Amino acid sequence: MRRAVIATAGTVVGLVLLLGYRSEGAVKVDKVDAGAGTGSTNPGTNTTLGPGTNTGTNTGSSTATTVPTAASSSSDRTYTGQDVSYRYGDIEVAVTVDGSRIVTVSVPQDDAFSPYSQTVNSAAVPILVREAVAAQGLNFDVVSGATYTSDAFAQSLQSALDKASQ
Amino acid sequence: MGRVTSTVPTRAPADAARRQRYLYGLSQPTREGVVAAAVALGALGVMYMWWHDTSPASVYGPGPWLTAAGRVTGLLGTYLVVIEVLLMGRAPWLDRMIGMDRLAVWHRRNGEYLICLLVAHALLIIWGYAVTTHDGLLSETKSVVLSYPDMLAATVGLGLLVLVGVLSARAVRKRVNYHTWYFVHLYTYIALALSFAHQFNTGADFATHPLNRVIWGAMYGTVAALLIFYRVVTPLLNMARHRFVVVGTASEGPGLTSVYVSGRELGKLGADAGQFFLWRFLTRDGWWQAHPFSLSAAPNGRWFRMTVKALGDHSSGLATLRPGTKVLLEGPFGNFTTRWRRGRKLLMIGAGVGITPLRAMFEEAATASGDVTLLYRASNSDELGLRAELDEIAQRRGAKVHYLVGPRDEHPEYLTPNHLQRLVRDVVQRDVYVCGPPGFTATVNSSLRALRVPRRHVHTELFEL
Repeated sequence: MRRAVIATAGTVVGLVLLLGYRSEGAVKVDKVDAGAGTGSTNPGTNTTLGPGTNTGTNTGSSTATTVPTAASSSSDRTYTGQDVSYRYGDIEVAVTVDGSRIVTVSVPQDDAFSPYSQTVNSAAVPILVREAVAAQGLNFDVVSGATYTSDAFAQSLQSALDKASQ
Repeated sequence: MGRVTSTVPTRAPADAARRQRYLYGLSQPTREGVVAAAVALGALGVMYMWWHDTSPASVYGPGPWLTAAGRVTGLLGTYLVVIEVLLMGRAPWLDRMIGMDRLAVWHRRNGEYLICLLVAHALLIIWGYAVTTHDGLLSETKSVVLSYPDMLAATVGLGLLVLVGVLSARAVRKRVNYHTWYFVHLYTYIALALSFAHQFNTGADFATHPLNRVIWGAMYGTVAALLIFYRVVTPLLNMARHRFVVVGTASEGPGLTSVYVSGRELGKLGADAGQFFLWRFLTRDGWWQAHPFSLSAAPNGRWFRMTVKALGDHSSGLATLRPGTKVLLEGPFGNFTTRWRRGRKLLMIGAGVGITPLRAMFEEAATASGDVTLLYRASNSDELGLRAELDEIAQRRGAKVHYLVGPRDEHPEYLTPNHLQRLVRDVVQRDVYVCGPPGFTATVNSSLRALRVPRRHVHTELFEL
């Protein structure tokens, strides 16, 4: 009995310490200033990947997230990438380019099959979109906790950019 | 270079130099500490893996906190399952380090702990997801179990593990017959197989980390290979090589039966007095079960003997074994041997079935050094099995035997420090070997402590299931 109490207490204390040291609170995504100084603030720039973000509006299917970075002009063209399936759903990314500049990135298709994945995506996708615009391509980080979504997002974006460069 | 054919060295009388070299002469607690430290180091490695893969950003708020706790308990629990299987994997080096009897105790404790960890893993993950999605626990459970890849199989696997754990809990184990317990215990392997896929396909630390997959896969692969080698290949090879066969049975007094097993080149097995084998008699009804029994006579290169008190169905059936019955022997196991003695003089204290390994050691030690004393405790003289043999050895080799006979309530003084001191004046200078029922062993050990016999000089074999 004494051994059970010690084992339980030790495990709980160990877990709390371990997690306590590893967590640093919310991740701050720095303001992405990719636009050409239009001064427009992007919606939800300081996004935290955590519970509660966007849960009210997101139903998990076909969320369109668009980040305009400049006033659209007549020379803009939109290309839709492949619908990429990944382990927890599928995602489709579209890109609007003006010449070689990425103007907006949007996600016409974002289906995640479990409520948990939907919640994760609803927080991660806006971050990915902003990062892609800011990086003007694929050179951005994976969003932690949403590795699969990030990979699939990058793949679909790649195929959209491929179409654009043809 | 030609290949060097290695042969198991035949046991020369233990000399001081060889004892010193043997595992650097580390004492039992030290050796246990070394093994425990190795296991703990592995656990730290697993924690590091999680630490390294988890970005601080993802451990935020109550939902992710719970989920992260679930991942840690899952990783640790699965690691310990692998350790659990290894502990009972019959690896001779583990046996030599800490002894099969201790391994069995570790196996039970580790088993209890890891099942708790894995149950916590499942609950924490589901709870964490439910908090994150603001969903009910039940619907989240349904979603996790049914829609995530390989989760259904893993859920069944966890259920099987819990079943194995419940049946092995001491209170339940006593009421379950051996057949049921044994076959349910085999479900552990099924549980391991069923839960393997979900680790790689949904586990955050594996799904996108090829290196972790390689490490984890190597761990499973190594332990599986060791298991097959030590539990299947080695016994079969030994059987082919030594052709173990029953040569006779003998009654050793009321309810006591000896079985003699012979074979070819038995000396090359390297068995020591005090060790035990797992005996599997290949009869129509008994081939599927192996039972641990100590050698009740010092190994002589010609035959092995075990002596059993008729208790369960299995042990009472042994008297009817026919000569010529083939036997599959696993072993030798146990480090309750004179190999670990620190000095020259020996004292052996035994009771009940605990007398069988002591009988073998008594014979061996009396032949080798002569300065041996044996104390044999029994509640009445009918229970003094093997008495004639012990008397004969004592007489021929000049060793001493004291019989402490009588009911416990009439003779509470037998195992007291004073009485032991009076029987064996130089008890403090002796290596003491204790074997018997748990209560008996505990009493003797506390008396030895009271007499200030150094801990390293006290050697006990635990009888615990």
